[in-house]
Amino acid sequence: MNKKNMSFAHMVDVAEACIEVENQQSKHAIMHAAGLTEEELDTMWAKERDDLFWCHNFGGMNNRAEVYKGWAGGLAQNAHYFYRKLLAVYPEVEGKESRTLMECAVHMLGSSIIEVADDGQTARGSWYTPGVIFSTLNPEAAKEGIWIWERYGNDFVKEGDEWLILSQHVCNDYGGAMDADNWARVANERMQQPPQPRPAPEPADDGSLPGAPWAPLPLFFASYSPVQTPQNSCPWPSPYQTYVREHTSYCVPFAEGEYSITYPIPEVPMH
Amino acid sequence: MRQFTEEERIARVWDKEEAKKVLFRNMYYMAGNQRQEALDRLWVQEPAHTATASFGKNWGYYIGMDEIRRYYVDGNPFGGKGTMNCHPVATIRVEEAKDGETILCQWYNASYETREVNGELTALWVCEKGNADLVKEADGWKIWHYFIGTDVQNEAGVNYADQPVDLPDAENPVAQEFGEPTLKMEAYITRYNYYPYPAIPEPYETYRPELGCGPEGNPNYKA
Repeated sequence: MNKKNMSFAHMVDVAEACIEVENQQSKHAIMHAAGLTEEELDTMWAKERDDLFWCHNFGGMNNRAEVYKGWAGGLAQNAHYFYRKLLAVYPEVEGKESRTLMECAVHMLGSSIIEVADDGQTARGSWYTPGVIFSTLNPEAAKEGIWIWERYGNDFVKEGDEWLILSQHVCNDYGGAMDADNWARVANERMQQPPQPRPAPEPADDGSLPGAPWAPLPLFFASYSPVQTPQNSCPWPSPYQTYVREHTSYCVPFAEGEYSITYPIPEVPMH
Repeated sequence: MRQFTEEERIARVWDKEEAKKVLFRNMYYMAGNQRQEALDRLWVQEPAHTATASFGKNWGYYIGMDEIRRYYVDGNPFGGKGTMNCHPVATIRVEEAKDGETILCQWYNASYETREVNGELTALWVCEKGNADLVKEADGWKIWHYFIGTDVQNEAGVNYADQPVDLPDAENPVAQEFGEPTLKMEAYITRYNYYPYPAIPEPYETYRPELGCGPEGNPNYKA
């Protein structure tokens, strides 16, 4: 928005909104690090509407029920399986929060671009996130750590005095062992000689298994590949008048011309 | 709920931006090896605050500005040829008290350091959660309490998975650097991944020690 056309009151609203949106996204990063996805959805996401949206490279979820099932539910199922496996090696973890024990995924935030709609009711933000996922205790009795580089595009909505998350678009560019991976070489080697499929996971002592990725919407984005040109996977927001889900949002589809993946999107089975 | 005028609202936006700049300058001072300047210019100066100022890490707290200087300046492991560090502030959240006297801040950063370990220059990746309580003094916002929870320190080029699960403090260069704090205690625990102290800053009316990142806000603190 051109500030020449703004009243002082409007400028105050926009300045306040930018701080609150940044605060909210940073809180998301910490809640995600803690593994508390359900609590985040309950308290930090839109409460007065159900058209929530969340997506990752493997696909998307297009309403509140799907986001709870596919994102929060998938992580919780994995965490439960991990917890049962971990308990057999480290009895000390009994009773601890399984979602926190599984891993600490911190997606640090930088390079933010935040736009508040002219009508003041929504905001859009994009970030680049150099991240890290680590865990101290694992069933293999060894630490684990990876670097993970991703992009975020979020829509926010104002409900009362609160700025809440309406959608989150996550595009993973690359992840690899900390600090022992040359991603170009590893990706090239995997292309030359595809790794053997992982064996099916052994059920935990209570019969549980990790969850298969579940996403009703198709694959969105592919990570780094030696044969893929650079992608504008999560376009930054431009100034906009009002929120329109089909055009000015991080929910699919992007506005025509914005969604710039240049390779054929492969079909993946959805569960 | 307290309502603010437009002038008050924009003043509070200004306060939050100023608070962020204090933390960013602190990072630049640290990277530039200007630690004394950081303490002189960015930390509390008024006697009502200097006695209770604190600098904490996983292993406890230095309390009072003289003690903080003993650690941060006198015990500074950087400054020699080949040493360097950068702890950029990212993922920041700032909450100002409704009374306008304090600001709670939290951030998370991936950092690097090059320091001497056992006589050899050693490159480290460091991942840490930072918190600070800022208080308004006559000449602006000042750091009152500062806490860094180190989640990961890992030698560059070495697989983190090769680091022992129970790494002794004697083999942890960050723990070694922290030395003997005023109050030695288990202040931040990484064994079970995310540690909920210091808390995520939330809207608040006025400062209370249990909200902040000083020792009295730590669940393991014993008076």
